[in-house]
Amino acid sequence: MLLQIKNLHVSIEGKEILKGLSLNVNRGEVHAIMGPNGTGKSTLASVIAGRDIFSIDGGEILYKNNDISGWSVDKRANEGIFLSFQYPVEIPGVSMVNFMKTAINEKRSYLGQDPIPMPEFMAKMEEKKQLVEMQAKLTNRSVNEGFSGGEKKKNEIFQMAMLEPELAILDETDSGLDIDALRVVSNGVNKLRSSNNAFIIITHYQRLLDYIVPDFVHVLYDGKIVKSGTKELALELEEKGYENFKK
Amino acid sequence: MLCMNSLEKSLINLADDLIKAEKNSSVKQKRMEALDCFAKQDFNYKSDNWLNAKIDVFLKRQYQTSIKEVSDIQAFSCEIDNIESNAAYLVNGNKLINNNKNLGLQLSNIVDVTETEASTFAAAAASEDDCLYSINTAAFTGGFFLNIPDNTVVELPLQLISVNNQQEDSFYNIRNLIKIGDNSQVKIIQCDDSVVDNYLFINNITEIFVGKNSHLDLYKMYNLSNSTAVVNSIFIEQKANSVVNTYNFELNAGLLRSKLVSKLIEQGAESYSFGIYLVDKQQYMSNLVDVEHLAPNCKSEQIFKGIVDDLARAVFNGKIVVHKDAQKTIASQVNRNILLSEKAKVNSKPYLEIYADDVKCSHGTTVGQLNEEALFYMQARGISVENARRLLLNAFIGEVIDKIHIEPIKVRMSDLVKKRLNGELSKCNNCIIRCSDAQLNDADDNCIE
Repeated sequence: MLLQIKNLHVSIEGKEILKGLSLNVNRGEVHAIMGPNGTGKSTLASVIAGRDIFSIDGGEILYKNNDISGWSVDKRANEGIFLSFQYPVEIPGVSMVNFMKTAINEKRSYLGQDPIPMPEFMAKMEEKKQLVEMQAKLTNRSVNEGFSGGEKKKNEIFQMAMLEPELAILDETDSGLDIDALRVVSNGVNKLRSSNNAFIIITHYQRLLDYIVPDFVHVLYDGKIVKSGTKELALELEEKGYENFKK
Repeated sequence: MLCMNSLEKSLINLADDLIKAEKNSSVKQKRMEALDCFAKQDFNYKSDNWLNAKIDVFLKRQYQTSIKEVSDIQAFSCEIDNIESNAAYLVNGNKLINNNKNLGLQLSNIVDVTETEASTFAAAAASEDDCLYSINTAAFTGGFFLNIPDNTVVELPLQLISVNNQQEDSFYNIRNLIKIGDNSQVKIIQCDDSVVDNYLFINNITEIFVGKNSHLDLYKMYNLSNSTAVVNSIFIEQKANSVVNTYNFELNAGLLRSKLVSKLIEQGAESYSFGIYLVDKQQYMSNLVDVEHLAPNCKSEQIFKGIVDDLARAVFNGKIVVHKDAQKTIASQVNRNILLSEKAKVNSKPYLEIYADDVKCSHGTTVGQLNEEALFYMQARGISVENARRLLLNAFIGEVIDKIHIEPIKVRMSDLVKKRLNGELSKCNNCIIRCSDAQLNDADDNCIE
C-alpha cells in the first residue's frame, strides 16, 4: 500500500480539525475527497506534505510502510509526495529555471544521483510545458510572479510533471479555473496517471471529476470520512448536497 | 580634549609631522585648520550618526600610525576577474602603484598634487562635522588623485584598490580626490582589501567633483575581515545634467560606516545610489545617505537592502533635502531589511525635508523576516530549508545586483553574495570581541564588553 492513514487526529492552536480520519491509497488509484468548506480537506493535504503548523494528536500516516511523522517536508517531497497548492505562492526574484533545477537536483542528490545535465533539463522543461500547454517563457520569469490564476494552476501541474511524484495531492486545483484551463489541467493529470502512482484530488465540485475520473470518492465532514464510494457518489453529492451527511 | 588616549596622541603627532613636511601651502593650511578642529572635538562621541555604534571597541585599541616602507604586494582578492580594466594600488595608505600608461587622465598620489590641482581639496568634507573628517584632513598619508579632463571618455573601468599588508594593527587616513571635467565619462571600482588578519581602522574620505553632462559610475566593495573597521565617507558635487550611479556592496567587515553625501548643485543633475549590506556575528554596518537637491529638475533615487543575522546591527539613515529653489525635483528612497535572528537589529530612518512646492518625493522602509509560505512551498518541492532560505535571500539582494551595468561585476557580485550567504567568505574570521560560540548562540549584547 502506498499511503495508509490510520485514525488521524490533528489540531491547530488547540482547535481540533481532523478527528479520526482513515484512508488507504494504493498505487494506480485516484481518490477524490469532497466536502464542504472548513471540514479539514486542506488540513489533510498539508499534514501529508508535512506542514509543521499543525499538531498531530493521534493516529499515524504510513507512506510506503514508513511512519513519516519524523520526516521533513523536503524529505517527503524527495520520497515522492507532491502537493499541488490551492494558492500557489509567488516568489519574486527566484526564476522558474533556478527553482525547478534546484528541486530536481535535490531529489537526485537525495537518491544518490548526479545533478541533471543542463541540456537534458532544458529539454525536459520544454516537454513538460507542452503537457500543460504553457505558453509562457519560463526562463526569465520568477516563480508564479504575475501569473494569472489559471497559469498558476498549470504551473503546479507542470512542476508535478517535472518531479514525477508517486503520490500527488491536488488541493482544489480546479478552484478559480475557467473551462479551458480546467480541461488543460485535467488532461495533464490524466497523462501522468500510471499504475505506479496515485492521486488524491480534493475538490468541492463534481465538475473536475468529469475530466479526471476517480476510482474512489470520499466525503469528508467534520474531520472524518463519513462516506466512501465510487464515482457515482460524486454525482449524488452534486444532486443532493452535503446536507444528508451532516448527521 | 580632556583625557587624551594614546591613539589620539599618536594621530596628533602624525599630523604634526605631516604638516611640517607638507610642501603644498594650501594643503598645509587645510591640514593645520583641521588639526585645530580635531583638538577641540570629542573623539569618543555618541552623536546620532553613530547610533549605537560599537566604534569605541575599535578606537580604544593601540594602532601604529607611522608611515612604513612597503614590502612586496601580493594578489588581491577584490580584484575582479574577466574584466578589462586598469588597476592602481594604494599600499598601506601611502604608496601608490600605477603601472598604467596612456590612460588619458591624470592618476597620482594625492600627496604629490600641485596647488592648482588641489584647488577643491577639502571643499566638500567639513572638518567641524566629524572628528574623523578633521583628523583625515590633518593626517592623511596618501590616496588617489584622479583628474579627468573635459570631453574625455575613459573606456575601461578603473580599479582603485587600497590594500594593507602590514603585520601591526594599523590606523589609516586615506584621502581621495576625483575631479571630472565637463562632458566626460568614467567608471570606477573602489575597494579596500587586507591580506593580513590583524586589527585595522581605515578612515577613508573621497571627494568627487563632477562637471556638466558628465557620467560617473562608482562601485564600492567591502570584503574585509571581522577585525577591520572602515569609516568611508564620499562627498559628491554634481554640476548640470551630470549623472552619477553609486553602488555599495558591503559583504563583510567588523564595523563599517558608509556615508554618502550628494549635492546636486546645478539643474538636471541625477544621482542614483544602490546598496546592499550583509551583516552577521557581532558586526555593525551603517549607511548614511544625504542627498541635497539645490537646483531645479534634478532626480535622485536610493535603494538599500540588508540582511542582518546573529547579534549584528545595521543602521540606515537616509536623508533627502529639497531646497527652496529645487522645483520639479523627483526623489525617492527605499530601505528594506530582513532579520534572520531574534537578536539581530536594524535601525532605519528614512527622512525627507522639502522646502520647494512642486516636487515628487517618496520614501519608505521595511523590516521583516523571510516569507514562511514561500519557504514551505519550496520545501514541498524537495528543496531543503537551508537552500530555500538561500534562494530567497539571493532573490532579495538580486534586485540591487540587477542594477549593475557592467556584466563581469554583476557576475562577480552575485557570486560573492552567494558565497557570503553560504558562509564561505567569513567562516575563518574571529568575531570582533572573540565571543565564544555559546555566547553567540545564546547571548545578549553585553558580551561585547
